[in-house]
Amino acid sequence: VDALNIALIVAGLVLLSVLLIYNHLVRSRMRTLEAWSGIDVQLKRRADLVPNLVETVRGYAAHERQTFEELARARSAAHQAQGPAQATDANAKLTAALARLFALVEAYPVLRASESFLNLQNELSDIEEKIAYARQFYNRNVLDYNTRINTFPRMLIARLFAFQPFEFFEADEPARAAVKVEFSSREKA
Amino acid sequence: MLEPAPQPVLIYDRIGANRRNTLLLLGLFGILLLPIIVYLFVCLIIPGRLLFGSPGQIDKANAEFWRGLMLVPFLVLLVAWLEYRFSARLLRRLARARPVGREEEPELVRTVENLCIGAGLPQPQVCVVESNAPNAFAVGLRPDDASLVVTRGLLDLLDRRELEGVIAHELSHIGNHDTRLKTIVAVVVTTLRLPVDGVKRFLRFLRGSGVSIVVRFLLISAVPSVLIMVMIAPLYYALSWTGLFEWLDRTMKTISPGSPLGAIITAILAEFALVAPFYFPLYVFLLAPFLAASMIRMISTEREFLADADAALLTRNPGALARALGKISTAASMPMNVSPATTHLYIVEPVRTNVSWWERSVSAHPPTYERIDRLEAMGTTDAPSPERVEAEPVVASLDETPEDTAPAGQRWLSLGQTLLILSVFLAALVLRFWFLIRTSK
Repeated sequence: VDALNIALIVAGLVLLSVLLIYNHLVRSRMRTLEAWSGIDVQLKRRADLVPNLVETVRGYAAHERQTFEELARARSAAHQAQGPAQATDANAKLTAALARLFALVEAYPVLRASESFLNLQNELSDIEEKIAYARQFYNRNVLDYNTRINTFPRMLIARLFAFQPFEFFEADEPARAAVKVEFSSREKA
Repeated sequence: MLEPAPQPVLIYDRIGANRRNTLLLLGLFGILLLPIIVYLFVCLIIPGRLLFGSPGQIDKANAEFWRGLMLVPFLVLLVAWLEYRFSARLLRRLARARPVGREEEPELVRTVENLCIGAGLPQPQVCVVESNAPNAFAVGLRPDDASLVVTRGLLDLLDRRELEGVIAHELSHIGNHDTRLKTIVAVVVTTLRLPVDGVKRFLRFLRGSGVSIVVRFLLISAVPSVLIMVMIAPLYYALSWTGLFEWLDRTMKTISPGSPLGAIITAILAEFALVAPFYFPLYVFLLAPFLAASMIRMISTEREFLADADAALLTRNPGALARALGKISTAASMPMNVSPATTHLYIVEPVRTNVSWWERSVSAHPPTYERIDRLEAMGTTDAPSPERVEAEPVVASLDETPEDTAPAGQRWLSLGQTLLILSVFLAALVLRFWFLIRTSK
């Protein structure tokens, strides 16, 4: 009877810890998903800026149809992209198309100086900066989550309930220089 | 001297550690306030009886007393809750901070927005203080109702990257839930310093008013008694309703003076009533503010280093924050009108006007050059930057003696101060009892 009791207690403790770890992992996954939606919002905002940009440029350079069409395709691809991998791809295409548009604009000084174009350009650079920060936050969460599901003993529960690792959202620009951060406190003695 | 110790790296662990600190702090606050509360009760009984006699009915006294006593914890809780609830607003008002929108400060608001996205935090309310001294701080109990305050001088002094570093530092305070801890500390310290600041303001007013020295002396000597009267009179009326005095009266009578227990209790009560008025000013004017300052420093130092590290992680640019800290401390000779209770909120210790060496020696911040050193250790710079070299003499010149700037020296100095105050207390106690023994013979 004693052995049975001990076995029951041990089983109960194991069950409890499994429960706690499971909840922890779910919370971590939700945080990462939320971080991804932060990127998604900014990516959609950038895609939504494209029609306005095209409208403004079309007033000065209506004949550059090919660039506009390419931009429209890249935009709808960016709008439909699901998940980090697709988004990275679509976004790189959109960036390339935008770069071509801006290269084209170089030939039109009046357009370049126009107020609506300058506003759009400012907004675009603002959004791009926000994307960079959102990416940083997302990637930090992914790192945390992936580390969790790959370390013992969480690994066992992650395997059991099929927790999938997230992909990092890669930058299409060269990564910023790594920073070595040391968390240290003053002596406590 | 500095020994790297592992810190919880995940933000969620740090929030947990901070919660424990907050609870510890609140407990400490309760202990700090206890003498004041006890004294108030004694003060209520002794001069109250002298002034007003014993009102109320004697037969109802017991029931009324207990009923009244039950109100006290609720009142204390109510005051504590109100302070907690409105602390952020109170501190914003103390600093004279004004909320600004996107139209007014587009650059600042955009920087805050972007860094919030990077840190995964909700947008704090952005406020500006119209002061030329460059500084910044954050207040708030929860990240979703936090406020980030910067001075006009900071916006003028720093370039975009440096401003980013400073804001990232403040956002890290919000994200780590340091702001809650610091906000509570600030409110506690404001409360503990209330009598000191009140008297100081009164003295300054007297000095400026140009009245004759005799009148001044009379007024100054009248201050403590007036202060005590003002504190006691309304409370006395409130408590006389509860029948506390009748109850105490009866209790005193039921303890027969002949029995040894009764004699001891009466002696202790009488002694306490005599001694407490002498200790109260000492405690309120010396020990409480000093303990408050030590409390602040104990909590702040580590939090500052941690927030610097987090800011470096967030902006990926420790150099910019180091530059900003250097610039701010170089410009910090510009005095700022800051309440002593809120210095620990700021990113760099603000220079206050008219402070004594006593108060200045208990800086709430680690020395700026040490912070810059650590930030530069995170980046790739290996030689000390011009900002660090610049910051050092400035920090040194803030204090009268160079030892004050060294962390170890500072610790020893504060220990010395504590011992000094404690020995004054002890000496007073010994003297009092020696006198008592001599007179009783």
